[in-house]
Amino acid sequence: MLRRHRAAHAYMWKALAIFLPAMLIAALAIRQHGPTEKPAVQLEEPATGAGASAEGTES
Amino acid sequence: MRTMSVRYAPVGWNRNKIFYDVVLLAAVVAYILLYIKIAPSFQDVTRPTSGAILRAQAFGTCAFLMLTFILCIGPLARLDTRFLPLLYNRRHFGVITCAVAFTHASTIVSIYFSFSPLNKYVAVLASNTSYDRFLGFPFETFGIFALFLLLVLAATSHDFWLRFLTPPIWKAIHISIYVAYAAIVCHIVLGSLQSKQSPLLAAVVGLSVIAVTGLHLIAGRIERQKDRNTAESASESTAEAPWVLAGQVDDIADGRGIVVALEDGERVAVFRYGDRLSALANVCAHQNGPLGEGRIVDGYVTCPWHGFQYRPSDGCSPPPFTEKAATYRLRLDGRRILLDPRPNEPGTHVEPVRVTPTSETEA
Ligand code: HEM
Ligand code: FES
Repeated sequence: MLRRHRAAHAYMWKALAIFLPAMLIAALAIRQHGPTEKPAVQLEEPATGAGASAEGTES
Repeated sequence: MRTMSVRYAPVGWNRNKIFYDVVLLAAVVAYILLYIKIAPSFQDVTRPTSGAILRAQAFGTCAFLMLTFILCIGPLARLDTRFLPLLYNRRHFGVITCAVAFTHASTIVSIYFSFSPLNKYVAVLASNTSYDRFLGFPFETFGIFALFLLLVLAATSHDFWLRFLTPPIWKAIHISIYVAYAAIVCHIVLGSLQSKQSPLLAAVVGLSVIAVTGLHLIAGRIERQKDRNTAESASESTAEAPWVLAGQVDDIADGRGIVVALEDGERVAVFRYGDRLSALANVCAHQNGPLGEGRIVDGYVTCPWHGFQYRPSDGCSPPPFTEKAATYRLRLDGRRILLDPRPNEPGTHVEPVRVTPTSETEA
């Protein structure tokens, strides 16, 4: 390869080697988590038998 | 088979190329089918992905992996000659990648933008214009930009365009494959990686970036080390020529060459064929392939990348081809090869230097 081309390649790849990982890390670090990604919250224990849910958990 | 047989298509069709293309297409089809079959088992069952979106993702990730592979071929071939066959048909690889990326993009446009009151192609550009922010950036624009570059590269990939545009312009255009890769990384990182939690996709992008940039940095470092071992100027330097020491006759195998780095950063390939020695610039007129790493085939220096050929004595390609490489003058001092580091005009005849077959002359 011509020296000129080698120098251009080397320069571009050095810049990309810094830019691309930085982009990936930054984007993952400040990513916003939507409500759909939150773990499900159990509001009430599942009913164990017919009509049990209406009574609550104490029995 | 002689590779230089048809004008404008020096790298013609042959069995190897067809085999390469068939394997490549089979791999693409297998990947897409496998993705569509396996991906649903990884997704959140409460939010299933539609078949069309799965297909778009399959084509998108396939194109990204193909682009990663294409970019790794170059430095891999510099590090190990066993990868050279991959380089030989890289053009078809690129064109197929472009077709796969195009399918991804057109599937996306049909899924997400068909319901817009605007024309769906206008909607891709108009539906999000938040160019002033990082999160929520219209990542599709990176995809469109990269697809545009891939289309230009695929359309101008044929050797006809290399001649028509001239090598310097063609090479300047084709270096934009790096820009396309960077744009795709931004496309994924600001798009899919924001909208869904996907450690697998994040890992694939991370590994791709490490492989592509890492291999280029390593190959670049090795090239720089080669440049550091520049030919020393020989004590025989005369007013007539500033001779430099290029190496020893016996270091060059018959039908092979060595690469000599000069002070000014250029490189010269010195070939030994039978009882003769000749020197050419190390740069192939096609795509800058390293001629000195090629071989003499049918009496011609043959580039290791795509098989362009040059007569060692004057650097001219065999008719009907018109490519030319610069020649250099050589001189022998015992078994030492001396080189005049000033290049001749490409195509200038230089009488080859004669050598005796064995090293019995060394004092
Ligand atoms: C007109 C150009 C393009 C448009 C409009 C576009 C649009 C999109 C959209 C909307 C998504 C998100 C898909 C989803 O909902 O999961 C996406 C994902 C993606 N795109 Fe593109 N894209 C374009 C070009 C490209 C190109 C040229 C490539 C690669 C060479 C590419 C690679 C990808 C990849 C790898 C993903 C991630 C797929 C996943 O979520 O698993 N795109 N694109
Ligand atoms: S034949 Fe393509 S670079 Fe030499």
